[in-house]
Amino acid sequence: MNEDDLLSSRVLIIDDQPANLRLLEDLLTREGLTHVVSTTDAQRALDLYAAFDPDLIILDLMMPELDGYAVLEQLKRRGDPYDYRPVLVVTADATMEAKRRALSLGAKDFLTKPFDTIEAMLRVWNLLETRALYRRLQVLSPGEPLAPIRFQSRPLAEDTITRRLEGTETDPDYK
Amino acid sequence: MKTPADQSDTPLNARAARVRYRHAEGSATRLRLLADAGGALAVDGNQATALAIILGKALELLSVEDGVLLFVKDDGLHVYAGQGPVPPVGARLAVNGALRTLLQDRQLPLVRQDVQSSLRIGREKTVGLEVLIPLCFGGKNVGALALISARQVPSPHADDLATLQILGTMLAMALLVTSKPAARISGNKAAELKTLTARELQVFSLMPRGLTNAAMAEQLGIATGTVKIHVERILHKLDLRDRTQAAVCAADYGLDA
Repeated sequence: MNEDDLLSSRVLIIDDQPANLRLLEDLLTREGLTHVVSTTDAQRALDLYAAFDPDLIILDLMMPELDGYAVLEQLKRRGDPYDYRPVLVVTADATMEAKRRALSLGAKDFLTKPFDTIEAMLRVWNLLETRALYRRLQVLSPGEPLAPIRFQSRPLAEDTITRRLEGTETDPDYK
Repeated sequence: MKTPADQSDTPLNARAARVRYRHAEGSATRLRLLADAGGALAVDGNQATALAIILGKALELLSVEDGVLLFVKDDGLHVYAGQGPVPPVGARLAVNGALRTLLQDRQLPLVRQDVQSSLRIGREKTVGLEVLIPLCFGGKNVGALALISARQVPSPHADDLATLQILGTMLAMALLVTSKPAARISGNKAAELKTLTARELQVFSLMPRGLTNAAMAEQLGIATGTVKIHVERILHKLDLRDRTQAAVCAADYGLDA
């Protein structure tokens, strides 16, 4: 894994407290990450997500209007089910319910405040590494959809079927 | 001894817990859409703005980009709100293909994938997903809410479609209330109205505003006494008890618009 690839990763931070944003921004910059965008407005976060196309999202749970759970739900609706786009939840709510709920809704990792900054950043690196591997997979197989055939669009599926009939490819989903 | 409540607190396994949490959050999102739509319609403001907001929220629910809100008026299908490369607000569309199917008293949404959409303007007509929600009220479809995605997206969840159907009925009611179709005046009522003179009709149409005789007189540029006589004649001709009943009746006829 090339560290330079990881340093160009894009991180989106969503937290309604500007102080928390600053802390996380500082930590990430200290790690050498240059593409960090943050917002205090969860409503606008989803538009930012679409525009910025982040590799990692760091999300606070307790926010007014649209809370972190709602954001997770929206990201699920918005995202491609065959995409790996990790969300790291950072919250002061240390209840078991909060953990269960956030992890159920697709958060890939969970940190409770106050957290050890080094541990937090180690978790960030781990998530970014997995994301980088996924991106590499996409680069290595351009035009090769990662979705199983039944979820592909008709023209794409026909193309895949043709190639399989010609014996140039085997179906990994075939059971 | 375990009560059902205990069981819901301690799920059998993580898989079940995950399904439950996801369902709960999905329900909250769907409820938020209806609450936002209700709020937009409830406030006193520009209806076009409210419709544009609601269309935006509906698109957000399915996370698709383009949409159009259509309503049948004067036997034509008109665009009342739009987002993305769709016909502009105020345009009148030909009813054909999928729209025709939908408007023929179909009570269910129509979901099609990889189709040519007649609702897109521009060269590229092929869309990944087209969802048509009927605006259904009183057993009749009075329009459609179309949600379109250019790229491939999975088919919407059944619960989302059910929510959008409720939204469709809300929109149908809102649009019907404000459009006041002339069709609401049935034959014999129209005949009743014909017995009124032109001046009486003018007075009659002012009555829903709750104006005094003097105020009406000022509006029409006639004497207060004359208005009083007109009102008495209207009550007599239409067999109404009092001013209030007359005002309600005029509003029923759609004369207060």
